[in-house]
Amino acid sequence: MSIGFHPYAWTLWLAAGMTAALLTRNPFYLIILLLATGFVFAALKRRAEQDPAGSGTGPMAWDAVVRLALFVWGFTILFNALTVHVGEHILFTLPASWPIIGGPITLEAAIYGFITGLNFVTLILIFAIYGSALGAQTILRMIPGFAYQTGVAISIAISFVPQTLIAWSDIREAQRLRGHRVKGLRDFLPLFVSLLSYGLDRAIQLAESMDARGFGGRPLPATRRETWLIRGGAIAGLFLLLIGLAAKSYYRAASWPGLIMLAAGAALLGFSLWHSGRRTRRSRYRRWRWRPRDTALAAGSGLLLAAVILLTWFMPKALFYYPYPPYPLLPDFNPFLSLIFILPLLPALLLPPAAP
Amino acid sequence: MITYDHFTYRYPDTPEPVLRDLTLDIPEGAFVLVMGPSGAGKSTFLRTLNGLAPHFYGGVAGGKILVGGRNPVEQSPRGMADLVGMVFQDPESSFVVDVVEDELAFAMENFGLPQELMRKRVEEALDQLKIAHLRRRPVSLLSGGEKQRVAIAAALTLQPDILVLDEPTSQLDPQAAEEVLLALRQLNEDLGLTILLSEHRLERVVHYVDYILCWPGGGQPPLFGEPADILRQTPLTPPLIALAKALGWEPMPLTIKQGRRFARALKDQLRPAPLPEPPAPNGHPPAIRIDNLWHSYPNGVEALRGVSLAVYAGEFVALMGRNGSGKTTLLKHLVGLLKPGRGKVQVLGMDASRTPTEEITRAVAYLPQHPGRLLFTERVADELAFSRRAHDLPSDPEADRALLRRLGIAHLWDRHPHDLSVGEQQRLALAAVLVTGPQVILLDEPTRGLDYVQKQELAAILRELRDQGKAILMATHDVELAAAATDRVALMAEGEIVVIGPSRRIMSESLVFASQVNKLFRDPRYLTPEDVIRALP
Repeated sequence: MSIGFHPYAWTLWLAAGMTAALLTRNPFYLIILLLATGFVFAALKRRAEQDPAGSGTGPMAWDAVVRLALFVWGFTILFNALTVHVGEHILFTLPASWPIIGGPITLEAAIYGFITGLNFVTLILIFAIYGSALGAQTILRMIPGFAYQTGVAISIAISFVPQTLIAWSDIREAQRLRGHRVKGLRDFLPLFVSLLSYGLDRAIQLAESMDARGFGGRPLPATRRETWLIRGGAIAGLFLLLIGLAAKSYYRAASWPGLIMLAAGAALLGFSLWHSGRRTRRSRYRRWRWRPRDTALAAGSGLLLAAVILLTWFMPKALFYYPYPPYPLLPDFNPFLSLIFILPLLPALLLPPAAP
Repeated sequence: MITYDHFTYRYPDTPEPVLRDLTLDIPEGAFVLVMGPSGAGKSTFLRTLNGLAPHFYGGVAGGKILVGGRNPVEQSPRGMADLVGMVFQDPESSFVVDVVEDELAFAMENFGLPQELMRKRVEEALDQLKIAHLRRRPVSLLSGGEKQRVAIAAALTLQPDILVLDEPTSQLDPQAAEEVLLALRQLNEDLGLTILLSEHRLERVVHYVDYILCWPGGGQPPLFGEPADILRQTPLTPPLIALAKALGWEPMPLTIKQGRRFARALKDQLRPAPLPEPPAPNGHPPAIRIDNLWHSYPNGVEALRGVSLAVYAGEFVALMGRNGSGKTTLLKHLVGLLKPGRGKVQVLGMDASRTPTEEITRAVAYLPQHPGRLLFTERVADELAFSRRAHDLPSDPEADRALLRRLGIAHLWDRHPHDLSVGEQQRLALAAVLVTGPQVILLDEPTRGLDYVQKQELAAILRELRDQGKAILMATHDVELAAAATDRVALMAEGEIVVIGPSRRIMSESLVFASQVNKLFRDPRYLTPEDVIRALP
């Protein structure tokens, strides 16, 4: 279940937004980026409220995400302002005898904290949007075949957490009913014993159900040669990766032999994993359609991604800003450049209305 | 279809086989009820059908099985998955993914079926179980009956020839259970699916099935045959059959409709005692007093809306109503586990919203829905000692032993609580909360997983406690238990008490909550077989 767009289009959007949020330090562009993602966040929230069952991802704590983001932002500003005593614009001064926070509190440090906070808040929103639009299940389904079983194990582990919390409160209730008061650490022991036996019961029931429904598939029989090819390929690939890493860090003057070995190792490892994944026949129930709006979203996200990377590579000053002296306090602003940071807004504009 | 030939199965670490020398032949398209006392081997038998036993549990299997032409001991459960669909007791813990549609597709994805075929089968399964409107819902937000139907649909998508269900209705209210069973019957009739289903509440299923497979317990070989023949031979019978056996009705009626013919003929000969007057309040203040209680959960659901209720010492009251009608929420308020939004809750003169739970429970016994969660020591004897210690009472092994003896589980003194059967755990949990000599007893669904004999024993114990002057309040779906043991019944719906009154009056006016014998005579003077037998001339 993926809301509005093809999961791959959403993933490209995630990659572009993340890269932009990480590589940009200019507060003007960052604020534009934050506003754009904020709009998408609000649009998804509105849609989920109109159709609570339609998201398929269960209830989502929208307000908690916002609260977390604001807390992180406030904390970053305060932390940076109180601990970095560098800059020319002094707001006020704390007694020097106070450890760490004592000294001049500067505007530059507060601004630096503000920008770092902006990076964090934007990232939090981007991940919240991605998670709520796709849901854990869809994200898992994008995992390639060889990692599928690991993926299912992880998804079960994730669903275990809320259930264990419920069981914990059930058990705690049961103990209060028996008059058990938790005063010291030793009184917790019966709680853990019950929780453990509950978790075990549940794990057994789930495993039984998965086994009875054919989980694990029926791997196609592999010939002896294939088995050796896959194992040998994986081992050789790992070996090449390690040697490549070592070569690259020892011979700094000529890094290309190391790079070649790294690339060859990665390719070999990838191939053998892909090949072993192919031996399990599995199919996918969900049909993911690629619509024109997915092309639009992918194109926009690709443009942002390419622009940010190229700018960082060739014009490092364009996205850069550093409030501390000797740099000027006021950041540059290029109106044309700012336009590309509006691109993450695309999902909010193209999002189709919720089905009645 | 299903053939067992001198089959024997033994769990690891146990000396005695659970299934011994089993020889059995179940024809294709049969609807089979698997019954027997708890712990007799029903679940184990069902798990041998797809190889979960021995593949999942280990142990030793001997003899031969052939299920649809395959041997489950040789094939693993995976190899049987497209032939035998399994539905487990607790659907919640058998769900793998979170959305209904994906849950239905899970097994097919594992088998690598093409997408077109999967889509077609998901649609069919959604329609067969009438859950098409739930397709995009997260499974965690469904009601109990909906969850069970989703679990059945998920077992059907591989189009198995055999469907196996382990107590599928044990957690459902009567109405939801009926829906599930009707769906199963339709599958059996329309698709010719062979269905094997285990169940304790026979009154719900006995009229749907073609055959009964009955484990008498105690290592005896099972009986297999037509329902009427088997029910004649077993003490575990629903009230209608019990009455028919006592009065020698032939041919044995399996449905209320069939029984009514005999009831009409009998009715004029009966000399019933007049309806007992409801006991007048004896002037004492009530043991439980609830005044205009309101409660909302943090998610905004209004669970209780203006409930008022008084329960007196020496009185046994049943709370009945659909799943989610507020019964458990009400009980939790009485021991202070939940605090009222508005209104007052008093138990034995204590204000339940101000007194800590640990103190209330010294005088109030509360048995929650999962009795197993109440148990957390390593030995049956330690459970009672634990309760005493927690309530600062002196240890008294003699009194503990006497209490266990009265509940019929004294012989388990040295066993580990988690090794007991459901019925035994239930009684041990009851003992663990009764050890303090409480004046008020609260029970939440105490008959889950109990067979008829155990249920009658429980009813007898509770009546005895009531006669000693305890006030008992019990939330239950079990119509027959409420009919047999309680003085008053309160029907709840949407967080309100819709009606409250003497059990005889309430339960004979209800469509859903009427007992079998009452449906037969439509007269408040007859709720149980005993009522009828006592009125014989």
